[in-house]
Amino acid sequence: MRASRPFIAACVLAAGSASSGAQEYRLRLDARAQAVSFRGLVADSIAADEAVPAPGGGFQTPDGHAVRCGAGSHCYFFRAGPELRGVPMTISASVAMWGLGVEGLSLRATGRVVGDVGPDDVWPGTEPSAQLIEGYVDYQRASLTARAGRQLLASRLEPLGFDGAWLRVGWAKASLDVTGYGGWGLGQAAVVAVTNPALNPLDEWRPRDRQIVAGAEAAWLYRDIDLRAEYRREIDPQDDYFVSERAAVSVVGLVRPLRATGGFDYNIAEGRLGSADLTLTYLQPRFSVSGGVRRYRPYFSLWTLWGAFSPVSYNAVNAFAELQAITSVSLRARGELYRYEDAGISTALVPRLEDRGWRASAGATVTLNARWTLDGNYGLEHGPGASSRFADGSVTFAPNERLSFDVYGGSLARPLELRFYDATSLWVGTRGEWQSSGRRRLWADVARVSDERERPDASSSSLAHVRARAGVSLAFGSSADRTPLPPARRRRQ
Amino acid sequence: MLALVTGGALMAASDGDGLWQDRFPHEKHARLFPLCTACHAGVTDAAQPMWPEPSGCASCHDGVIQPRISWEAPTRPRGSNLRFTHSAHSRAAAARNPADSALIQSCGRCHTERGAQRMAVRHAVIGQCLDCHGLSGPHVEVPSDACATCHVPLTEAPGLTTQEIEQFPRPRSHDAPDFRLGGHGRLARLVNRPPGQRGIAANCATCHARNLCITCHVNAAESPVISALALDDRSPRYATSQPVPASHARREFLRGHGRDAQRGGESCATCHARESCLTCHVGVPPRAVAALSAAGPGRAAGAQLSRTPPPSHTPDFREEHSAEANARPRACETCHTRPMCLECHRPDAGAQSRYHPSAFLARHPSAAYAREANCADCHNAAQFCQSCHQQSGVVATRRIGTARYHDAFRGFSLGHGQAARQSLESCASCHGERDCVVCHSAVGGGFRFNPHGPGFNAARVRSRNPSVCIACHGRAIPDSR
Repeated sequence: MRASRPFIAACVLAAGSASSGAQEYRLRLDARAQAVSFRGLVADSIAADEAVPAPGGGFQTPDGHAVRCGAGSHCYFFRAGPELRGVPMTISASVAMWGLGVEGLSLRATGRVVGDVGPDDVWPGTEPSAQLIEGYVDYQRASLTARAGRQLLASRLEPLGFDGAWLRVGWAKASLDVTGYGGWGLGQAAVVAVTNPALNPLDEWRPRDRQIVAGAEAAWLYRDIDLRAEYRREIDPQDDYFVSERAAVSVVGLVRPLRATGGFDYNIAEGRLGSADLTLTYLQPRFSVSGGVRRYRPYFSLWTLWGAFSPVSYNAVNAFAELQAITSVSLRARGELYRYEDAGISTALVPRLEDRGWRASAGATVTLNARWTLDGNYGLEHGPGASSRFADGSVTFAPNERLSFDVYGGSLARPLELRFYDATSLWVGTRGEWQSSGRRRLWADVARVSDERERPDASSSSLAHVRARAGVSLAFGSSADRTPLPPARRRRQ
Repeated sequence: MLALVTGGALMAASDGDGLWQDRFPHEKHARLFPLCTACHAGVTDAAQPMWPEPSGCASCHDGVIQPRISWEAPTRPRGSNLRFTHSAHSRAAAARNPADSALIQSCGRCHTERGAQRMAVRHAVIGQCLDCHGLSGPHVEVPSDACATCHVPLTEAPGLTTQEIEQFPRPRSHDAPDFRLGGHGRLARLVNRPPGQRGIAANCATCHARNLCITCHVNAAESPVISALALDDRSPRYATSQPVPASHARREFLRGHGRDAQRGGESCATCHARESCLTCHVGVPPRAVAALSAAGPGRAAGAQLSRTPPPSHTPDFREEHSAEANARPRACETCHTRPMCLECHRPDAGAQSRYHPSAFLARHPSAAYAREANCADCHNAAQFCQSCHQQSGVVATRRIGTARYHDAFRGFSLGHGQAARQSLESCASCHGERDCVVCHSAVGGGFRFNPHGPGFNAARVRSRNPSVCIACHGRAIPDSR
């Protein structure tokens, strides 16, 4: 509950200052729930003397499950587990308040209460039950912005949450922005600290204290070029060892009709180039084409051992095209080829695994009229670890601006490389949505999903179930703030 | 485009060619009436009627001498915005120049063209008025401050009808290219306004009321120039949409308009209410936005904008937005509130992801293994991947090598190195570090299989965090040089 305290404090502060005449505010409440099922695996064993020879070689249980028998007295195998059902629910609130009596001062907070009320309590991310995502005071003057509190820092070095202070100073004459920040960090992509048990389901070693985060960023904003360089370090306060030390550069440049975006990050602590990318986009009113190169290398904190296993990066080339063939028809296609760098592994005992792959997808949207829209996609992926082939489509009927209905469906085939466990899924569903005056939105979604897990033994499984989801979003605001909820459906120009 | 509907208007008491019709054939009666005051006694004596009695006409038009006629005097004064009465005008003229008073009292001085016969009466010959008052040029082109010599502001001329106002003549200034955008404002402002005088040029007030201005001007209530005009529903309004200033067509306008707004917010306030900006600026409004007036009565509604994605937001932008968002976060903040980012980047358990396509749960192995996107931008591997895989029964902690999960690859435990280095994040979604150090550790019964691959900079890692080295090497960390 510690995480909830700042959120509660923020709400109290917000409520307390609500009486201020000049105050303006925006509050968004979301409540969502879904009911989903899945069937996993259960590890099992039989006595070695009960195993029988399998028709294709090896051994199996008398009822046909392939088993692994070692030198011990037992043979091991996986069989399909029971159907597990989760009903995660979330209530989240996001508030922004300004006009607090000090010009440029505002208060912002986003938090949520979450839980799984299903019979099996299996859904991830439902602990802790109260979560503060952001809650900070923001002060803006002409060339200065300062924040204090819990913040989520958007950055090329992954979005980072921390409790601390953040300051940006702009120097307009030089088109420069300089930012500095520091505080106590949260877990990677988490709203709680790394010390929280919710981030340690496998009971692994974890630091005792939250890491101290500090960083700086300089941005040069000149005409159509944005260039940004940043540096970040995280320190374990217990022994002053580094948790990470990284730097990154991002750039966006526009030379009409070409747009270039790119950047890279560098892991200073490990002395390795991290991920990098460069994309060129040719933009025209009726079509756009982009091509790029990309390198991906995973990042691990230094308090884990994973980085010592020398993960290798892959390099990719990709392309994307979109064409508005006629006013009512939009076509799109995307493809990517990638190949891993040499893993430095060689042994005569085992064959080499896949080290390259590709992804491709194509889709079309047909807008018959203001009410009817058809959409379809087809995609293929082939690469190490897993492949997939999928197709999906939807029909949308929107009788007016406030109401819309979808019927959707699709199919998927997904073989794995390292396990006999080829999955196929079929789904069909419908979704309805009602949005009133930009302040209220209700939606509900029901789908029937049929999953098959194929294996050459008795461990195949299937699960046909209904997934149901529903939600409501409410927006409140002072009279001068007419900002509606973001459009539920993205509008195109 | 701004559409001035004042075109073709006719100012009351103008030359009268198009409006005034002589209802009495004065020239036919020239010999009968040597003096104008015989019929229009009120011209020189306000106590007398301005019009003759119809019975006076009947003395001749009795059906015998002359045919009968039907004529009645006007029942109400003609609509006018003149600050003029014959008697007052005569008195003022006489007081200013007694020698000229007789001439002034000569009706033809104002009501006949030069050289015309005495009874070739017109309503008023404006040129004569201008001559006497020392003004030159066409009537509607005289200096602004001269209008008030003869005219009251429109709002003080209740006798004029809307139709009459719409026929006021249109000054040539209204046809200037920049008149609608900026030009009319410069003309309307009074420079060196004397104390007590209106804040708007008299010639504007002569024909217009504030109703015209608030058709477009959002900042009408704050503008001293516009506020100097009174409201009057008879005033014409602009009928069509507003023009787009040339500055808005500049390529860099979208990016630079915030800077422009801070420097010169007044010009923005002319056409934009705060609501215009809030169409896109969904965060806490920037100061320039907050300084704008909110829409309301007494001012124009403001330019109505629609919020559409910029060209960069192609269908692929969902995948590619990170580079732009990292390099240009302020641009995102213009239209997107942080909760929108948090929906995906800090997903909640109750939501259906708007980022991933349908049935992504079944498809995610292929996307996750080769990291189609960086999962860790949004998902904590332990909280999200490990805990779910744990519920699914595929987590292998402390039973590695026994269960044979990777059964499609005979001898995987010996040959897993390549797969591990290619997708270590996938390994970490099911395996704890303890699974690996069983074989890779140099202490504690490990098999000392070296896990370090090409490019591993042991010295650097040790200098930053030796605890990583100690975990497998104990205190006997090999010389990393």
